[in-house]
Amino acid sequence: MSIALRIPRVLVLSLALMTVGCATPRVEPPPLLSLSNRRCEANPNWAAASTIAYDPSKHRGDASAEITSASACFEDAVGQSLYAVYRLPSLPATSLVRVESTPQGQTLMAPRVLLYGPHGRLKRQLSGSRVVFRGSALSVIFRSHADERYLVVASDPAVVGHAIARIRDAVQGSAIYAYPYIVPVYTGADATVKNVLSYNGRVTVALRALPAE
Amino acid sequence: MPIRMRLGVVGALAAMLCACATQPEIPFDKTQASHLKTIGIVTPSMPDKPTVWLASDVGQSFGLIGALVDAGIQAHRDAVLWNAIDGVRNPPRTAFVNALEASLRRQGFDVKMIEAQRPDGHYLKTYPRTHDPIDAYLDVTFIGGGYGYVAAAMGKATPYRPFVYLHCRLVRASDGATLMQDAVFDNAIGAPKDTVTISANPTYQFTDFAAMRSHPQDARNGMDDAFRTTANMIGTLIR
Repeated sequence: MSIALRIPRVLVLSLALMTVGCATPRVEPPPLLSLSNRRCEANPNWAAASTIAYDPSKHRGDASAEITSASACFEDAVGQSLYAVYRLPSLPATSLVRVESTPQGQTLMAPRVLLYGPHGRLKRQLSGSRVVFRGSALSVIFRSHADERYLVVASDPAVVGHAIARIRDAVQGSAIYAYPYIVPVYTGADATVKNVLSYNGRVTVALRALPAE
Repeated sequence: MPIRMRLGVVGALAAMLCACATQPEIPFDKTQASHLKTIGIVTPSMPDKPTVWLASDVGQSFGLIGALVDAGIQAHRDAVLWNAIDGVRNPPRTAFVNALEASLRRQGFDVKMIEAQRPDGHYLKTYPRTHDPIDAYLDVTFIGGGYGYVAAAMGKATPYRPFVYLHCRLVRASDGATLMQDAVFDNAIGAPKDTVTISANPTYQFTDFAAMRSHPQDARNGMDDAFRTTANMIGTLIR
């Protein structure tokens, strides 16, 4: 059984042209490891809470934020944190919230999630062992509670500065062009991905329906 | 192993490369399980023997013939590893269940063992009634190759390391409600999104299969370490 393919010359040339690099490399921010120059508030600023674009008909909402050295900060018993605050929409009881911190080069914000009631009273905090890697992102998923109105995604000062090294194996399929044939080739790679847990980073918040059982 | 089964194993493992084995995640919430004290660990759906898996190799580029060659090589390596780890006297299933029990006990739960037949590799549709009262069933199914050793490719730069791939869910005994459901991969190939991913432990790695075969105790230790790590993560998901 021949698995090589005959291909027209025009297609080969087109594919070759497409692989000419057009993308500009993205410059990722370095990890922010100290807030010693910041004077932080005692509580998150509720007035500055962002809304999450939520579609009740689809039971779906998404938000994202780049938390930088210019972001707001607050200080509690754990320490100082940069944060983003969201006002939660009224959610059905069967709702799932996913908060993720995705790597930006070596920078990976160490997230903790705090949920507050309508009058700013802390209801619960999700941090430490509740934060796990899903894929390459640090993730917290939880069920929404009706009495929670504000969601704060904050950096966790307890772990800022820790270096993480994770082994990542990958397999990639590609093709060798030997006109007039294409031969599929699979190659494997093994790398150690290094990140530093930081105050800054990129975070996303996703609201979804709890999956049906 | 018949050719059709060998190809089936190779095919199943190949499917893992596209991270096809996903399930919806359902997070545990203490407010829904405030009376959870005793968990019954159902007999896991798990291969009896480990797999030695080369995630990419030359055979994949050569259609059916290549797949047959791959299947034959893998079957041989699986048999060699099974003998090396003394699997008959020290079954991997026992090691995993013991690790799972220890993990749940560390979380403060009482644990019972629930015997069950697992014919098809899926979650059970109904759970056995037990004489001793339990509050929830923990159902674990291994997926893909299940567990063993995997290397991304041949070569010293891509060593074999232990892997464990499984789905797990916690079901309330009184009404069958799913209290938790997730996937846990120790040493995943790629970065599957809807899956808790645990980085491989670099303590247990072998540059090639010959090195693994010549260090059988280390090979066994690595496998058991992956069982413990995965079991500990499952316990964490039920906090």
